[in-house]
Amino acid sequence: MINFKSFTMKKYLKIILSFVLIIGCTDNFLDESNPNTMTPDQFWQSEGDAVSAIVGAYSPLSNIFNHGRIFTGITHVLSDAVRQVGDFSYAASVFNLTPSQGNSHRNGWEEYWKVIFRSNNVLEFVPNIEMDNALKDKILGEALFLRAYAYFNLVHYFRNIPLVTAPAKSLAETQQPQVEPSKVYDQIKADLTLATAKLPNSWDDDNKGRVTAGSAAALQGKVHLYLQEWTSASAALKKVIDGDYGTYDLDSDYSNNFKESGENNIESLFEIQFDNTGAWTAGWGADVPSTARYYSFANDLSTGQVNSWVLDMFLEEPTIAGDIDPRAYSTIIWDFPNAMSFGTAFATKYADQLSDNPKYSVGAKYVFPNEEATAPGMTSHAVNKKIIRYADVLLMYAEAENEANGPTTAAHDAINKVRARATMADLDASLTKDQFREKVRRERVLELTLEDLRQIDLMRWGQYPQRILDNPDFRNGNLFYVQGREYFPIPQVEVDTNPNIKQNPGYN
Amino acid sequence: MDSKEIVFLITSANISATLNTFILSLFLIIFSESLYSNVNSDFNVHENLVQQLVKGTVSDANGLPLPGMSIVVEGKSVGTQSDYDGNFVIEAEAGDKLILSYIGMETVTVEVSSSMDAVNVTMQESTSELDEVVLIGYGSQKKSDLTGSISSVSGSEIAKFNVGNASQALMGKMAGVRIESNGGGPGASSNIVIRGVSSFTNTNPLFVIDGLFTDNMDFLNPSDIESVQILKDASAAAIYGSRAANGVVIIKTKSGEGATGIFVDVETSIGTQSLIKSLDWVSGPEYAKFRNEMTDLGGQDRLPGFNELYDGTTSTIVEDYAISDAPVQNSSFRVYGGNENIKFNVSANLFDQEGIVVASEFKRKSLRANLSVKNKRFKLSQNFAITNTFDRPNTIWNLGNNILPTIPFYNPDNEGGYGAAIEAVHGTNGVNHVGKSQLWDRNFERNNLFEGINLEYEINDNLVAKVNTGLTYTSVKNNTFLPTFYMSPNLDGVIENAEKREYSTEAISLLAEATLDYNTQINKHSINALVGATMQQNTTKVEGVVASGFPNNLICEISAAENIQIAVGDKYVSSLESVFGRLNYNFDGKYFLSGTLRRDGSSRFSSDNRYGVFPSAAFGWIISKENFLQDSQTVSNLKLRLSYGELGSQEIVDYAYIPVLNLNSDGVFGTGQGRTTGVSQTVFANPNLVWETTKTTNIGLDLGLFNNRLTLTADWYDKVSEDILVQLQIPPSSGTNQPVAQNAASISNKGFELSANYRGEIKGLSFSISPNVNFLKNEVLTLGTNVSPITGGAFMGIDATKTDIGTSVGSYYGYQVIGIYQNESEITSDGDMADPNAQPGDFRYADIDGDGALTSDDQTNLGSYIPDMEYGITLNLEYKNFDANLFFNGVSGVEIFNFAKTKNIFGFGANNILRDALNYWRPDNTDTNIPRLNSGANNNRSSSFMIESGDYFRLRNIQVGYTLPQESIESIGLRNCRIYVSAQNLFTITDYSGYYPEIGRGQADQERVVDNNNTLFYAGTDQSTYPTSRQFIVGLQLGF
Repeated sequence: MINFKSFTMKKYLKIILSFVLIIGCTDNFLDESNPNTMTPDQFWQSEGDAVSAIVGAYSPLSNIFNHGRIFTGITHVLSDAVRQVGDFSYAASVFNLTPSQGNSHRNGWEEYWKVIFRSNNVLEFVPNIEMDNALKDKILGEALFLRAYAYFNLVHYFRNIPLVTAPAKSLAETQQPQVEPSKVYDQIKADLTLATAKLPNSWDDDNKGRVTAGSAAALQGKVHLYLQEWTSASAALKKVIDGDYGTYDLDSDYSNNFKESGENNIESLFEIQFDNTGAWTAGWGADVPSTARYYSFANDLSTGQVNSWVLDMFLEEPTIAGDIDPRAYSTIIWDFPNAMSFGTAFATKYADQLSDNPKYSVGAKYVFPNEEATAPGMTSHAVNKKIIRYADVLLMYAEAENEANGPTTAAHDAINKVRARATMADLDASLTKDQFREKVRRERVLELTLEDLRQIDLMRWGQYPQRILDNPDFRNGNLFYVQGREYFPIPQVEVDTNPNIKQNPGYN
Repeated sequence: MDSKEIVFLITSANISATLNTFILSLFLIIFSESLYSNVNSDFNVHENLVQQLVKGTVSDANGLPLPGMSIVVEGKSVGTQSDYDGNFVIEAEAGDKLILSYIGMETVTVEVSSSMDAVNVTMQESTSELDEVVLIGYGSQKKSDLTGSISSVSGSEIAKFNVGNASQALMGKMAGVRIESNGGGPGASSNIVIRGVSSFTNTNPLFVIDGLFTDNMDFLNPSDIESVQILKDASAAAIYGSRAANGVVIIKTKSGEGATGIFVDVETSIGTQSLIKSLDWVSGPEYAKFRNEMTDLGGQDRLPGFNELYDGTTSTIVEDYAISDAPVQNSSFRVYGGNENIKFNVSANLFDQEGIVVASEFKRKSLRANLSVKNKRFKLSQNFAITNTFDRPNTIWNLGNNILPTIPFYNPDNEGGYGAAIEAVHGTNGVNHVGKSQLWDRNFERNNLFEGINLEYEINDNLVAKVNTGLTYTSVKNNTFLPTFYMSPNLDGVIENAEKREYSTEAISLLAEATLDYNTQINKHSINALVGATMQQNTTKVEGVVASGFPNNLICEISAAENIQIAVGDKYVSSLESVFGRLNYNFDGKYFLSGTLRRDGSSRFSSDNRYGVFPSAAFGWIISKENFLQDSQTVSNLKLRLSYGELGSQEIVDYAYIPVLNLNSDGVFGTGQGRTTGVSQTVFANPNLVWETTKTTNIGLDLGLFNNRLTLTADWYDKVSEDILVQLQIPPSSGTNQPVAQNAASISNKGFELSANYRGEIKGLSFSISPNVNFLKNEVLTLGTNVSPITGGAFMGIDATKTDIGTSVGSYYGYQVIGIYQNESEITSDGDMADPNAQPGDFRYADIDGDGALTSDDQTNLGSYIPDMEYGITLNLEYKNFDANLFFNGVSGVEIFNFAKTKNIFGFGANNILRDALNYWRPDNTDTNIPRLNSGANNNRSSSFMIESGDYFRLRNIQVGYTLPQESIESIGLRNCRIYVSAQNLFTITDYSGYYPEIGRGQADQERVVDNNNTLFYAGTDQSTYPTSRQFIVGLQLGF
């Protein structure tokens, strides 16, 4: 029998008491930290954190929503060169463009804002990390470049955007107002100036592909050019040409730029890095390690149709040897002798189309259907996408120099260098400024078609969207643009969630 | 320290001191020996009296012993129960009053005298339930003293049902408690929704099983349950504070209480289940003809599979291969008993149910051991249970893409052996989902371990201290092996690389709590006060691996796989720390006041928002005790109850307030183009998250007439849930595009509940009839700024539900079909209201927004799965040795979104069609509601065409038993022998055209849902829900 006043009972009490003590003395019982992932509080401590953070800022550039496929898809389809691409949904989403329909423009909006937010985080927190100062400077330079590049895309495609230069500290701070586009450009230019100073001219083999002082300087020149600040553009680009930021030159083989063998070559100032690993299906390009980082859009291009005026332009002027401009074969395929499309004779495969239009052409850049027996898998095409090539720098310089100072020798030298690689004769030295301008514009088509630059060029030359509207045959249905819709609508999700946002003109 | 200080310390600790100090102090005080005598001298008013053991026997009017009788000493916490022979022993003093009560019997009070050595009491059958004792949070209360709204069901009622999941036996039994069965699969779980859906994330009530907290009751062996009570209003549930917003289910399992000696109960039953209703599928030749008409009308060439390559006789009907009668068996064994100090109950159960659908089954093995040891003022009890279930749900057998009737079911040329449609022959690459469900090995194995230890110490006659500790462990292993097979090049029709998926979830919950319970009666003032503290920690570990590349289909363990595709592992810990108190006061047994206060601290919220206080108050008035009614011959009981209270819900994901970093933001760099791991913030967190709060007002009336032969309980409630968590989309220009949880929405539930009971006897036939009914209106009041309406129920490209302001949660949303265009002129006259591609034979839609054009704004609320009215009727009959129990239930004002129509009427050429589909519109068949063939997207929209009434009325259960006369079994050593036959779903009256109107929240092709959180917005969408079956069962119960 247990007696409550006996020693036996005390033993029970002790057991109970010790139990209560064990449970009761757990410190801060309600403080549970998340063991599954790090929190921002735990981050931003070491050099390793700084390196990881800047990698995270690059990450949205190469996923499927951005240069991997979706946003690059819709921006390609905007141009007058692309009639349609293999996956018609890009075009469809452009045709139906309303703020809420089609996710393509929303994807671009989201991915570039991710780059900005992550760069802002780096710029905010990395300065306080104790680490190798040289490396710190490079990382800050990369963040400045990435922020500028993201803003350049956003302001170009969406125009009226907020300007955010520090990460939001609370949910309320995420609702930022739109600013004058000029303010965004000012920020871009300031960032690029700083970036140029902080970035190295080159990286070691393990880090090749990260942005350099050359990338920043070339982008700076491009920004000036697009703003028609001719003198500044000319000066900035000249520095790149003069080798102030390392040696850049044209690859002797034009087509090499669009093959794995030409990744990060001497001609490359900035390119999006893709690799061949990762599952197509996992996360659809979100930040998951197994996720694809392919330039899968190249596949859509190679099965699409390029408007015949591009071929006409290539056929207009032969090389010195009297041949067709060799760049044509790297850009499109048409019904030339022995033309192939992934192992099938072009004439056979497109017999129907050719009977309607003998100049029917399809895209070739990055994929080369003429050379490949089979189409590379959509899920394994990992050739890097060139964003700024030295050839572009030369042509931009020629254009800026012509606009600033007329067709100077330097301007001629620059464009002729690009033409010489294609074994095209030098331009007539006696061209007027206007004639020279036309030559440069023409040369940009021959050199840069299907590199996602054409629509931007048309915009700054004031030819967009009029050229599309004037040429209904450039696409299957001329539903493409309502007048006044030069820019994408601000995605509806942003309008709905941010009371400080006004929809772009043309969409109300 | 004297006793006053003790009380002071406890109450002040309640408010300010940390819990640690509180619990420690409490026990230091309670158990310190020197203090014991002080407390004793101050509190024990009976100290001069001599304790004596009073023995007694209770029997009914026929002289048969009454086991399980409750005997308590009035005003004290001393109580016992009579054993199987009606004997009891209780400690009491001269002058004490013994109160003997039993459900269905009149309560008897006996005063103890010093000369008394045995009490022999004959109980009279009562027509009142009011003396019933019900479990309330951390205690029990006489039903007549209740001020809150509580429903209860006894274990004996649950035992009338032969169900795999005990929750199914509760369906329709309690007004205001909806049990949504997730289809009719073996062992199918249910969603218990108490007084309406009041959250978008979690609608599950809190389960308190033998004092431990769980989030379901699925692991229980139904025959182990002694009683279930459901705390419905805020006053009843407030003692559980932050977890009680969805109501509380308190379950007590059987113990050896009431039995002296050793008793053995054995029960076994066996039954068969069958499909209630077949659908009218067309035969192979009819289908071929239909497809040929389709191509002919569309001006296309006939497909060879229905023309020259069809043998003209093959007729493969899915049901023939998928559905067959299936056995169910249940055996349980229970040993219980003890002596006056030790009570035990050990039970084991085996339940084995095969599904009526091929490749589905459910098995449960469970073992329980409950033990209690008592010594004077000290009592220790423990409840231990272990359960293993094996569950093979077949959720894919009837998916949209299934075998066509013109194709032989088996095809030995295909790997795996099943036939399916081929593009070149049948115009589509098909899947044979019935076959596929047999090739796949997809199962869930759950293990559940439950251990609760309860120490109870009576400090004096007024004050009882309790410590309750426990552990529950749950592991769920979700295994799927997809062998290599081939049916067609369809994505779902071929597996080239065998794959194994193994996910496991392990959860451990630890609980420690302490309470002090004080009872006193001073003149006409009766006071019960309770204070307590509780701490709980839950740890969940989720692990999973997906691997592929096995040497053959017989080898399917991860080690043999060539590559590991996905491996995940996550851990979640949450803790809760609370103090609570309750004061019940009544004056003269007439006026009742109850107040409850609970303060919870939860790790799920930031330190600034961590604590929540949940108050409630209630008032009760037994009007029938007033002079003007006291002598009424008609009204034997009339009681008014009023209550108001606030409850919380903390059921949000762990760590939601902490921002996290994504550790996998890769970049590609270097000449080798390798991956570099990056880190980025991909989501913001909301540090201001707080509890969801539900405020409930309840007005209740209890009425007893004709000596309580007829009782009625009516409750009206108004429940508003605020700060409901919704996902707030934040501007993507923030640099993240994932939504952030915020407290923004509010939901209203208003309802009226009525339950009644009538007992009668006619010429030896005694009967009782208990109907209940409830009416409910559920409405979303607000959603929050920038919160989009919540869509759900997606299936075959259609979103069926949209939850928006002014709708009930999970309402269907779509176009209103007002007819079929009979000719071109109707289309022309409709202008923009007609789809640009509309032709005669297409649906004509209502212009809801009145703008004259068919736009997405013409979609409207098309009803919901929440019934306007639910009712149940229990009928018990006893005549001599025969007994019968019938249970009817029904719902009305329910709509079902019948996706089967999309699938089986429109057909899309991927599966067989129902006979109705042949009645399609054509110029010579215009009197029909089925649109023309080849009509495409215009008719296949979310529309009223797919909405059907889900109302039903059914005989859910009938059981008829015969108990062998005592004299005939005594000689063979039996105490009890009963045989019974029972049937479930013997008849169902419904207009629903699908298999059965019991849909639940199933989502097609999803693995059996472990928690219901994601599927709330799928409720009522029939995406090939597993059909409910009809069961016939025979059973035998033996007692030794």
